[in-house]
Amino acid sequence: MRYVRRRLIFYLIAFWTSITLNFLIPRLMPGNPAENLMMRMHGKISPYALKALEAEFGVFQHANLAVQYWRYLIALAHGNLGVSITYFPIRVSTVIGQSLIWTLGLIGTATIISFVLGTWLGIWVAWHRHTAWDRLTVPVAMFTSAFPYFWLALIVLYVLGFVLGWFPLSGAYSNTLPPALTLPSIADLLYHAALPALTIVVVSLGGWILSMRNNMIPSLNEDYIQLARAAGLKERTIMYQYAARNALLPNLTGFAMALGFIVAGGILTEIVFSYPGLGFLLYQASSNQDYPLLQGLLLMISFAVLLANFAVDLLYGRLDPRAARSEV
Amino acid sequence: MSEILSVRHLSVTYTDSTPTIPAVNNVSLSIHDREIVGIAGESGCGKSTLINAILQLLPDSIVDMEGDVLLNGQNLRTLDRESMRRLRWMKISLVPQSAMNALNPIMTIEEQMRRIMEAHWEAARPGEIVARIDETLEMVNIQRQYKKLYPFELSGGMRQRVAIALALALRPDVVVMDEPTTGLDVIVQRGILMEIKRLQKQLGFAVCLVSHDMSLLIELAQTVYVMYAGRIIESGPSRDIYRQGRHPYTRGLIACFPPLQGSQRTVEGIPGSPPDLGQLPPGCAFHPRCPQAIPRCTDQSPSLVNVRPQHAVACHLHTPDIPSDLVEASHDRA
Ligand SMILES: Nc1ncnc2c1ncn2[C@@H]1O[C@H](COP(=O)(O)OP(=O)(O)OP(=O)(O)O)[C@@H](O)[C@H]1O
Ligand SMILES: [Mg+2]
Repeated sequence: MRYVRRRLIFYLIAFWTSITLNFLIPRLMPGNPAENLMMRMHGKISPYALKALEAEFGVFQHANLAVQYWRYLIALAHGNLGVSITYFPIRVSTVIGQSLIWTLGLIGTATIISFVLGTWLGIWVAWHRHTAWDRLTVPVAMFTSAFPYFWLALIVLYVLGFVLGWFPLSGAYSNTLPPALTLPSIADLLYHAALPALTIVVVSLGGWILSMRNNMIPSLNEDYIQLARAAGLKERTIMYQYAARNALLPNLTGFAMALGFIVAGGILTEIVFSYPGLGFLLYQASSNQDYPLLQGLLLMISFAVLLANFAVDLLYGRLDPRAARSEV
Repeated sequence: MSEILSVRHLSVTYTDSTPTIPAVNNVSLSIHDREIVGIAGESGCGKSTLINAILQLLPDSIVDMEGDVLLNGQNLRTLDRESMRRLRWMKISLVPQSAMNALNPIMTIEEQMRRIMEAHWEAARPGEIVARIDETLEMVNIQRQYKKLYPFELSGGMRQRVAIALALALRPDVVVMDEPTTGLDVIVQRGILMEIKRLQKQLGFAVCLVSHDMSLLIELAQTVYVMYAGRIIESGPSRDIYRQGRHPYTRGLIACFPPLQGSQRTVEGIPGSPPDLGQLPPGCAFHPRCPQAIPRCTDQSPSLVNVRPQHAVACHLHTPDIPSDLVEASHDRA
């Protein structure tokens, strides 16, 4: 419990820091980019929107920094991230909320599939390391994980989507079939997600296989594995409960990073496949100089990274008693 | 006393390195009911390899093996994997070298013991397993509540005791101990070895004890085998080895380690260092370090011959067909 409390305090401080930076950066940047933006926006957007932006970035405001900061925190506590310029007058929180589900569904699922499958394959080939399977897997995994993602995604989309027409070219669902919890609709969603998910898994799987394999192989030579063998434990028990459980620990940090980057990491995928997730949104926001949306997204990303790390820390504490008990 | 474990002409060559390494060469030994047998030798002479070969722990992918290992008359080398697995720990168990690191770092002591027992006592009720765990830990003087701890929370000596408790959990006929006390301070070492002796009397298992500490083996074991460069170079009752060890290497080993009890002796080490098993010198592997080497030692490998009914030695100085005046002469030179 002490361990959990300490980690929680650490992450709360980290989160507060990122919120505060998010507040300070646009206000402290030399030549205030927000002010420049405001100048350019004059006449292009409604005066009402301009007012909202001014309040948000502290431009032309007379309240001092402390008061602004206080207002900012209050707004944040109410989930108020301001109003998007691109999607005016929709609130940033609403825009992000709508995209979040697509990103979590696609990139999140693909990341988890890739981690679980890659870890399992890594365990398996390490266990059979003197066989042809291992000699085959290692170069293949190196090759696929060295693929330039953007290029792969374009080729896959071109061949399987455009030339062969087996998969849809863009979007998360068919226009004729709005998302719902019905069988045809779910099938349609999976159909649209298949190609982007495939490209993510193909490119990231090799890395998980190799890192798990490389953790496993030294752990197979540990004295406690030899003892487990001598003691006549069943192969499965030695493989999973003794070797893999120990070898998994260093990989969890990498998994935490991957989970954290789900929110931001889908940019290329979502651009190539025109998938309506956060990555696509980030791309739009930056090309439209939609500062409120950008800021909301960055806050979201840092929150996701911290949350994923916290979750993995908790898991680590459960899996490795040394982590939990040594921090007294 | 009936024979429990019999190793016959066992040779092991590591094939995963170039040159291949003949780590065990034509070794035969036998262990009887309730006997403590010691295997002595310097670091790198193949003691652990011999033990791992006896326990069938060396995969075919890294070694070539010849010879037989009979446990209660059953040849372990021809046994299929599953039968061998079932027999492990029930009949023969191991306290590994560096037993300190032999525990799984992320499992409690209790869980590690339980998993081993469950692998063999398939029909056991949980209560029986718990009772056996408590009983066994008590035997090695570990208090019951420590079983909930993880290895990193125990001292070195306690981990060592836990490793011994693990080996005894299923009350095997033979317990193989590969330098079970390396890395511990001398006082703790001694305490643990005395405990092993007591447990051995109490439970009646046979012990194969590997150590480079000759005086300790002589004190604990009934029979001692001395290994050099993968071969047995002398074997016999420990009393005979101590008083009338014939091989210059054996005598060097005894001189290295003053006995734990009794008069203090001068420590005279063996000159030189153990040979590289990949590149053994011709003839007797010990000749470059031997103070009494004679010409034939450099080109003929001596074979193990009995000098008395139980006592065998592989040394040209003690092979009957050498004229005894030559032996005397070489003694004088030394
Ligand atoms: N997997 C392996 N592949 C190749 N050579 C090996 C392997 N394991 C051990 N050896 C070699 O075999 C020889 C005997 O090693 P072994 O571990 O049996 O010695 P030991 O007598 O137990 O030494 P120590 O007292 O240091 O434990 C050494 O020269 C070692 O380098
Ligand atoms: Mg050894």
